[in-house]
Amino acid sequence: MNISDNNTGTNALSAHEREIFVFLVGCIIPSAKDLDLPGADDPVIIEDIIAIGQQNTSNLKKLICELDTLAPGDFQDLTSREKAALIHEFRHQCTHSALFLETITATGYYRDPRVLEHIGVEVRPPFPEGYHVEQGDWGLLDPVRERGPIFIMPD
Amino acid sequence: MNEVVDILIIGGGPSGAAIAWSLAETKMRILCLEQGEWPNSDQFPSTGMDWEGRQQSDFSINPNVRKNSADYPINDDDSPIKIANFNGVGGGTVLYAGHFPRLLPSDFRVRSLDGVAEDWPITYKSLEPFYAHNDRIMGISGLAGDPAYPAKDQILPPVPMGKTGRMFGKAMNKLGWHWWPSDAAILTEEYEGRAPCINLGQCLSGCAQGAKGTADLAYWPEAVRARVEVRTGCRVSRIDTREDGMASGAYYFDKDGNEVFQPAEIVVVACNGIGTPRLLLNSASEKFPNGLANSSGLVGKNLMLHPYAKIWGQVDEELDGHKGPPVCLWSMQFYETDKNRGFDRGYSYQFVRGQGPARTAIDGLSAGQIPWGQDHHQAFRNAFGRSAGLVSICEDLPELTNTVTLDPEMTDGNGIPAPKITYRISENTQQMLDHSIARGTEILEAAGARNITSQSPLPYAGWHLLGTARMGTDPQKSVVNEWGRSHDIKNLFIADGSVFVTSGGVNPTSTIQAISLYVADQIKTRIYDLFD
Repeated sequence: MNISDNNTGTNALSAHEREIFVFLVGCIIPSAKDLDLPGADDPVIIEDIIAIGQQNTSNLKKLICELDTLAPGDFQDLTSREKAALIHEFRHQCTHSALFLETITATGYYRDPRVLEHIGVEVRPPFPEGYHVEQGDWGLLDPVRERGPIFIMPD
Repeated sequence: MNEVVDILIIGGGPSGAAIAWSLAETKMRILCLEQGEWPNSDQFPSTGMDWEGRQQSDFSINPNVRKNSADYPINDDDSPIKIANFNGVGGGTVLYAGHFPRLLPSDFRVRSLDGVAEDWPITYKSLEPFYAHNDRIMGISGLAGDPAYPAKDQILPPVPMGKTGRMFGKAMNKLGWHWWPSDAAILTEEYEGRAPCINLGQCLSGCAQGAKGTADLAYWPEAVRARVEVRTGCRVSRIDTREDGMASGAYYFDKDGNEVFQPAEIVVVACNGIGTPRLLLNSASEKFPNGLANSSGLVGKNLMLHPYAKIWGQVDEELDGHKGPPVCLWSMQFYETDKNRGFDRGYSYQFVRGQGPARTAIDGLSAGQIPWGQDHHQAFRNAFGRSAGLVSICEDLPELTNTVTLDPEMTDGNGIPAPKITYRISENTQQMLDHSIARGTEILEAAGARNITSQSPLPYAGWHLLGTARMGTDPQKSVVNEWGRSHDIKNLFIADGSVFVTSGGVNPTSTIQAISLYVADQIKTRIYDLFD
């Protein structure tokens, strides 16, 4: 299938491209029912990931094109085993695209409120509340003090 | 044509700000041209939920990724280390970690001590009052009594040790190695009307709290009150000269894209180790065919980038994660030369807290420690909030083959030729990187860490841009003299990282600003025979 088929906008993914993309991000971070966690292919999260990816449309299109090129036939006709083999090949042959995919997937996934709550991160920006960090005991430095100066003073 | 000014400063970063502030007391008419704008802390990433995403886009440290209108492209294809910078008032300090070590006394005497590179024409002692002054203005936190340094004053208490610092402190004590809380340009208390740090952990993408010592907050307000003018959105294309070979001023592109000439009696270049040689080379003319101030042929040569190695691990206990200033401690254990190690000079360590969730996942995925598929979630939980590490900053000795030149094709938005970087890591530096990974691994093991990984050199860490217009007393071996004046052009000064003779093994901003204050002091002291 032509990768540019069915585009609905300049940067939009065609139905075919979206299918491939959703499959890919779901392979990276699948849902975990036992943890009640969505996967990266969750409908809300996927939109965010695509939006992030569209900040660099050429990379986004390139990675889908590379995967499509590697596929032994039409993507939707592949068996699960063939898809798994395809993913393996993609990760090892298209390292730059795989890194880009991992980056946008993680960026979108790990800012979803459901995910943040699950991993114990407050659902808020760092500012203006900030965070608490314990001061610690600088008495730990006593052995360092006792060893004395370690710098060279020329002249 | 614009009205003539007494002093034209090109670049509003940490060095331009310091020199402007110091020269303001002369009551001369001073103008700073800056290609970027004033930072707006309301827009910094930490104010929104997309804070991690924006560190990879409009607040990336890499100008080739960021592509803001103030940025110019840099061809760094021929370098394993990619360039990081920020273009705007405050310069690199807007996006730096605020880690604020000084060079050490030995750094100024590497030829005498170790027989490598060149000695500086100035000493630690001559810079010491300017270091101290700069510390007070920037608002430096730290702890007095560090055995790695000559005595210096404590201005503010150190940044919190946190669980990460405690873990590393105990590990270093177990090994019997030096460690100390970092000097940091981070306000740990209210200071001079500026708010204290609230541990946002986002120093590297701009401090929305305004607690980081950045030049736009620490220096510029006072300089502007003293009637220094900062003209933003003005990109300087070239410095022009008169018949007698003195600088006459500079051409710049204003916000509307018009090229304008700004005449000046004195020109100060403060664009750092890439911007400065780029400007000098772009200022070539019939009289100066090899670029301005370049009779030595050293403009753009001896680029030093401070290769970093990163050593990272996971522990069972919960650490600080992404909370708090990322850098909390340093070690100078391996800083001074020890010939038994097989290399000259040395490196410092920065101990680093953890990262946000997305960054944890991205780094874990790329390191192969967090897999694709069902095991992703468990591996992520093992890493998130339980990871920490250290980076080594390795002294990069000057090499004539490490250069900044003009790219024959690439230009910025105004059509000005862009810089091209050619850079290789020397054998000496490589040995240092390897040594730092081995020792760093021992430190993490002493801390009880597992899944220890390392990366060397860090590819996206070309923050420290040094050496491309070095200072010295011999006009054949240096670009500026021992007080920052061009050997060739008597009313042209350079005050930034490009004047470094050697790089040392620590972050350079403290030294860059101390040099700027020192150069300003020399200008004021010699004002009656400045051009002799």
